[in-house]
Amino acid sequence: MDVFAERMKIIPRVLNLQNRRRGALLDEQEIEDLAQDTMALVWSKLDVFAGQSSLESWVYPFCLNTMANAVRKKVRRTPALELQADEPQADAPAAAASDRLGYDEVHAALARLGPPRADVIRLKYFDGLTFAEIARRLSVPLDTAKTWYYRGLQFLKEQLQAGAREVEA
Amino acid sequence: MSPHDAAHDEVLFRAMVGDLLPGAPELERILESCSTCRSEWNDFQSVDRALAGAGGEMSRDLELARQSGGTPAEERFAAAIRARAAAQPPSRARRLARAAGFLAAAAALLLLVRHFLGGSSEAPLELLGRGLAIVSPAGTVERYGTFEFRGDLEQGGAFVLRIRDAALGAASEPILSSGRIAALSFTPAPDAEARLPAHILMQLDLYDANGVLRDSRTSEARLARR
Repeated sequence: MDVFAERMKIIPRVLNLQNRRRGALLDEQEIEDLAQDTMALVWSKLDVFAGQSSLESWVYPFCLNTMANAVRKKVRRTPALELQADEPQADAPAAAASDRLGYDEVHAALARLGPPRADVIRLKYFDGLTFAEIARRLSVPLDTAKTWYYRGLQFLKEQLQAGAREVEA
Repeated sequence: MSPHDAAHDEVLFRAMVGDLLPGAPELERILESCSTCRSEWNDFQSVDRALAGAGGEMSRDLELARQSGGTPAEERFAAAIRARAAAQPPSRARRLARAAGFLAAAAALLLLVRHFLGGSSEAPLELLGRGLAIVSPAGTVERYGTFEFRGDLEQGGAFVLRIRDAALGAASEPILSSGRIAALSFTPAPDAEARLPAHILMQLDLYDANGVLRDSRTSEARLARR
């Protein structure tokens, strides 16, 4: 259990990083509570972790999702925070705030896409595997891996376009 | 203008999966003659950039997260996980819920649960890739030199280290590969090392004796000056 608990420390660490990028809207206690909520979510989904990617890569989108929800709730409760939430922070990476929001949406859309197509896309973009390696890892023919990838891209294209239309509206 | 049809879709598919290179005459032809293809292609490129950006941010976050920590809150968090495991073994509910018809899934789950509860140090640890890591180069270095890594390599297994140009992203083709090696280090030829860019992404894959990819780790390094 110690190994698992050690590896799950990635949860509060990622939440802290994401919080700083969003203007430190959540205080230490809120981050601690959010880490517990995220862990509960991860715990409930452990049986779908197939070991295709590293445990940390698998856990990461849960952190983004719970953080985004927590920030939305806090902004709703405290409207004065809205402006602050949209401002990129000094220690933020080069990505613009609009890209940052886009990245959250990418992970959310991948979660909606689900396996096996989302697995192929994650392995290709997040783990840097070639199609041949992906096919071997998923034990499917090469053409199947490519087809899942292409269908996955089509789904993401529609999802991200729908998200962009909502933002514009 | 030519009407969009299944043949056009086939060309777009081949281009997106890398069977056709950007600039290939077949692709250029449909992009010039078909507005639907042009629009589809541009949309795919946007998705491609979004995925690459999200992947890059995730890699950076996970690397930063690995280097940070050590706070009291984090220790409380880890203690809570141990307590949760002791009070509510995650196997029970799932075993009950999936008692019949999901024997294969249950078997895999039990391996995970046994590992999480600290009961075994064999297959579950292998599944989670314990110990697989790229040791050096790490962070900012004067030169890349020898690439060193660690991991439990079974008899007949192999490591493959792939190095990419960070400027081209994690999805780009590797610019240098170790090939299958059974050693814990890889030293590129001097001319190959000299050609490496100032910022590299490293991907270490662990294969078992059957050639099946078991785990993978990524890391990055950059030169102090070039």
